Order: sequence, then C-alpha cells, then structure tokens
Amino acid sequence: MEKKWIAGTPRLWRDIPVIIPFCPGCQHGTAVKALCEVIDELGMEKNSVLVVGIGCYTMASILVDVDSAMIAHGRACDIASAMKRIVGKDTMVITWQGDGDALAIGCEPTIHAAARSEKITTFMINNGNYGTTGGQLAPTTPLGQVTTTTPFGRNQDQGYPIQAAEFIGSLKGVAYTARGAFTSPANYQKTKKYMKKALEKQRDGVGYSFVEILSTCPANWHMSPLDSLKRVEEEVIPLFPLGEFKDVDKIE
Amino acid sequence: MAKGVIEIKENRCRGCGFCEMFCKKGCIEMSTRVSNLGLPLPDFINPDDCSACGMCAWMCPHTAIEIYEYVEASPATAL
Repeated sequence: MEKKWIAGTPRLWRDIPVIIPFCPGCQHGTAVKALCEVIDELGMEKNSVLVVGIGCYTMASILVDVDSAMIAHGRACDIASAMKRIVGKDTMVITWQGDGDALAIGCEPTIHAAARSEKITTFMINNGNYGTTGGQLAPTTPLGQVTTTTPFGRNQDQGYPIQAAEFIGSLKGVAYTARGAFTSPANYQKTKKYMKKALEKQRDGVGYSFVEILSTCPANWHMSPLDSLKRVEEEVIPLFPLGEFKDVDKIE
Repeated sequence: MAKGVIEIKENRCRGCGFCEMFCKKGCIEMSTRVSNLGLPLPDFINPDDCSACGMCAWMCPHTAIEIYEYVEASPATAL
C-alpha cells in the first residue's frame, strides 16, 4: 500500500518560519487556501499578481507563493487597474481586500474600477467589523451586532449594512459577482467555484469580477470558533445570501 | 479498514476545533493536550474509520492537516 496525498496544504502555500498569524477559528486562512488552490488549478501561478490591502488578510501577500504588492489602505483597485493596463491581458491581477478596505476607505476605487470595467478581480472578505483594529463598526456590520463603537448593538441611527455583491452587480461594467462562505465543506467547494469563475472572467477579458467571502471573526465577536461559525450560518447568511448575482459572457 | 490516514501538524494548529466538528466519522477529537500557545490540540483517535474524504483539511484554516489515501502500490514501485 502506498500513501497518496489527497488534501491539505496547497502547493502555492508558502511555508513561513513563524506561526500563521490568524486567530483561532478565523477563516482568512481558509480563504487564502482556496485562492492558492484556484490559482493552481488555472495554472496561473507564474503570471498572477496579488494586490493586497491593509487588514488581517494582509499576510496573504506572504502566504501565497505568487508575486504580490502590499499597497496603501483602500487603494488596491486603483493600483490593480494601473498594473493590469501596464502588464497586459496575459497577467491576472487579483485584489485581496476586506470589508473595511474595499467598502469603507476604498469605496471609491472599488466602485469606479467596477464602473470602468477594469479587467481585474476583487476578492473581498467580509467579517462584519474592522478585525485588525479591534472590532469597530464596518459598513457590513449587521443590525444589532455589538462592536467597540456600537456597544449597545448597531441600530438604525448607524445605518444599514451594504450588500456589496448585489450592489456592485448592478453596475454595467461588471462581468461577475458572487458571494460565498466557508461554513461547510459544500460551501467551501461552492466558494472555490465562484472564485475560479471570477478569475476565468478576467482571463477571458470580459470585465470586472467581484467575489465576497463571508468569514468568521471569533476574537472580535467574543465567541468561540464553533459559535462564530454557527452565527455566520444563522444570522449572517440570511442577511447576506450566498450565490451568484451577475454572470455575463459579454458586456454589450 | 482505514482508507487513509491524516497527519496533524501541531506547530500550525491553533485549536479551533473545526476538524472535530466537520469529521462525519468522528475520527478527530480535541484532546486535553495544549500547544506552545496554550491552545488545545486535536487527536486522530479513530484511524480505522477514516475514509480520507478530505473535509477536515478543507475546513482547517491553518492548513495543519494533510490527508493521504491508501492506494495499491503501482508495479513500478513495488519491484
């Protein structure tokens, strides 16, 4: 009998000499793993550029074994647009952002990159707060969630959460939007499929593609990892439904 | 008969417990041992039932699990 490797560390996961810097139960690592596998499946590791914003996920620039750039907070889509126009269509430019990076400080670059139909792909990880800085209110915080800036829970005075995948999908220059989560092995595979499809839209030169990924944040939600996964399933997914919202092969 | 085996890299594990939660066969259990960071470590308690489905490795956020399936040795390597 021989042992054949089935699953585990992806080929593009770089083995760093320090501990992997994500909190216990945080699913940023799962998202990075899915990205590694998707780039590997498409065979694009030699000509992909990862443009990473500022947040907990910034370590993706070190963990994924492709060229990467760590840029100013919120400006990932601007830099990625410029890179794509310089390097041409054979190189895939991927931005890796969080909800604060893509929707709060980086709202304008994200929306205008979508409106200009830049041939880039944005992966936005949504954990409902600003994880790096200690869990403040984010544009995607659901009503009622306690954060450090809304200690009695978010109420109507602080507004309503942004459903990014739907609203970016309403722009004409967008080729593909979807929202995935990692709450179960089935959802993991579905989210990987969405990520792959988004990169294929870029490779085929259709237009801007956007995938939102729901993640847990046990440290700032003050929950155990298993409870936070249950919260995503029971409270977050009804508010941010999973699925594909736009999928076109040609922008007329 | 086990169809495969898993390898848990304890230096990467952060003790979230997703592997225990998603193993349908109950092969993994969080133990009372703790890592250098003071976090609980999982144990592969039931190797005979492992079907090498891959779910624990998919759900592990810190890539601490590698899964290997037992396959028949190919003639070239058996010699």
